[in-house]
Amino acid sequence: MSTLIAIAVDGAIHGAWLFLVAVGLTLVFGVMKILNIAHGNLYAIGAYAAATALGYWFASHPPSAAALAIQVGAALAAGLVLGLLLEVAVLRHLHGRDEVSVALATYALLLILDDVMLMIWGTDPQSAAAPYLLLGASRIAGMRFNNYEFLVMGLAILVGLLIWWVLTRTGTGRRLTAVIHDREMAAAMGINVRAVHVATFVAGACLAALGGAFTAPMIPVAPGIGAEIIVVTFAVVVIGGMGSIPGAAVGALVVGLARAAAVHLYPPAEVFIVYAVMAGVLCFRPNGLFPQAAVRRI
Amino acid sequence: MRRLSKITLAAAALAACLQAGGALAQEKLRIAVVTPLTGPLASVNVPGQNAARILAEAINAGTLPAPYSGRRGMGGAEVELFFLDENGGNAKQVSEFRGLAERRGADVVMGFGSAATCLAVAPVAEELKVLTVMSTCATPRIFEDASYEYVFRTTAHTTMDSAALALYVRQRLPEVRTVGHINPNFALGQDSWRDFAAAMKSAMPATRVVAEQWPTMGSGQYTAEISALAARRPDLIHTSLTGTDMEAFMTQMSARGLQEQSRIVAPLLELAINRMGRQIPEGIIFTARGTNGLFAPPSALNTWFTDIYRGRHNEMPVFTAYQYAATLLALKAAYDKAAGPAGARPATRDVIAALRSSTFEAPGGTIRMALGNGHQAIQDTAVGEFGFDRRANVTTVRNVTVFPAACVNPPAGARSEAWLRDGMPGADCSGIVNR
Repeated sequence: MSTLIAIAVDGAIHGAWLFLVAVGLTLVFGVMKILNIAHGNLYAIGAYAAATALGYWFASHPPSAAALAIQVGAALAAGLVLGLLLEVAVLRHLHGRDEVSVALATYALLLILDDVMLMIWGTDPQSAAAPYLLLGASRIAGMRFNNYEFLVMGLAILVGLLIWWVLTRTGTGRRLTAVIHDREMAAAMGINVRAVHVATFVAGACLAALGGAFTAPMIPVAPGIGAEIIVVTFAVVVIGGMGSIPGAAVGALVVGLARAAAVHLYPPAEVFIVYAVMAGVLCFRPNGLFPQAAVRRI
Repeated sequence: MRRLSKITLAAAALAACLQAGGALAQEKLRIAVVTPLTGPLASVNVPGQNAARILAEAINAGTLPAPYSGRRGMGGAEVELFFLDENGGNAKQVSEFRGLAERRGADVVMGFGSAATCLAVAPVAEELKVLTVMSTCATPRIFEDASYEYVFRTTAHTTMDSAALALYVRQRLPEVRTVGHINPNFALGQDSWRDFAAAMKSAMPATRVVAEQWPTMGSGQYTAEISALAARRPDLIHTSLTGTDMEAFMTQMSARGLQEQSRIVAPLLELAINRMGRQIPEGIIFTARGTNGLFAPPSALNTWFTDIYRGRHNEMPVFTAYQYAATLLALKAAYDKAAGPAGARPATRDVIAALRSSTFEAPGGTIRMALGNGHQAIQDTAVGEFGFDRRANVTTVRNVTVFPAACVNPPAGARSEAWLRDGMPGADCSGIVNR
């Protein structure tokens, strides 16, 4: 019984973290039909920005809850600046191109941003563990869990609810949904599709950076972390259905639970369980668990 | 006509200059240092790169202390290092190794942090006949599964660490009955755990393995693994995680108090001590892959090395620094010996003959090329517990045991796995020292 509880808790923690990183990727794909391979770099830059800001802050201040505000601020600043820059300088010029060209362009961005990060931060990892140790621990089924991980879980739920609210309860969300379903018709109805694209990409960049900023206290931030996260993030998005926000949530939870089950019950499977689950889902539902409704033109 | 002859003269002079430049360039000994510059192993190999630069400068300037004092360069040649990123997978490394030899004119290749890379490039080095000296990678399989002429390793393999750690646990923690592990699912992790499990079975047959974890290298998230280990409550947990993986595990583990219910054995912990310092829980058992770093025996060479390293990088050198330094010192000793008193640039075959089965001094003590037909090094090693002196703000080591090389390395011709499994026959442990 305690093993099942541990799997549930570990799976939920891992799934929440994955959702935080993956939701921006699926949002951008849903609205802009861009498979942003550089999404992992936005996550990495968020992590670097947070680690750097936290390093400066804690060099002269004792550990405090201010760390959380710094993480959010660093992520939003990094996501806003980089999201705007990439959208205006690169992605805007790719509208109308075929998907392979766009994927290649974002792959080029991945390589360029990797080198930019190396130039700025070098090869030495950046550590910012203070927030991780700030919130203490809780006991569940006789095991100690770090409360910071529950904070990340809460943040993921908050982000999910916020996106759901924006999409279903606001005019912006309705315009966004219209663009998702048919951008030409949305443009014909007077929606500024370009502005929607800019806002969506910046929001996706901010979400990726937020994921990175809240990961930074758990791991040393080092070159290559963006490339490591992007593969599993793609798996989450593919399992859930490309472009589906609820799909990203369910996909992240499925991956988190599958990984936790493998770790607890059969550890050698950890290395491939995510991809086995993805292959299994695609066998029965080739468009993922929550595929976007396709418009049929007559 | 006169103008034409002036142009011809100028062209001839330019050609002569270029030729002379080429001749000078050829006199340099070009050493390619293949080392992780990016990825999870980058941070732990930076000290190695730092040490290589320090050693190359000192070799060229002739400022090395005894027993290397008084002779500049290697075999009379100035040393030139150039660095290449090891990250990116074996296929890339094999391809780049060919490029090193065929296009970039490397006389010697050294470095290599990953066991997988070492296993992949060793046959290529042999095929291309490029003198290749591995500095850090630790799998014993290189010289146990094959025989090489052009490939050497100037550091002991991981069997030494596992044997020493198991003997240390038997001596200092005889109450241990159950063991768990978390090791990265790649060559080093698999070798390290296989050897440690076999060594524990030999040293303490009553112990049993109750938890196994094989995280993917670079995963960084260990929440579930820590829960799984905590649930089984082993007396001892072995981990060969390294680099950013080790730091992430230490951060996440200590926040959840895993070290309070199990003793942790982390052979590669030393690589994290400069960066993590007081964040590392006290009492973790570790080695420095030889008598390196905090375990180094006092010597003029070690004092010179640590002083110059600390002065330049504001931290103590860790074992990767010692290993890269040892490689360059081994090469210097071999080149100088092969060059003879005349100091003429020796042929590669003469350098190989000089390096094979040699004994040389390094900052971490005496190293002997005793295994793998004289291509694989052994040296003394030590095990201790990590501590942090908060008053002096420095890392310390306590409860140290020093094991002679002959006690913890298999004899020539023996296979490591079988040697450990059979109870380490022939091990001479008469010189163990506790301090």
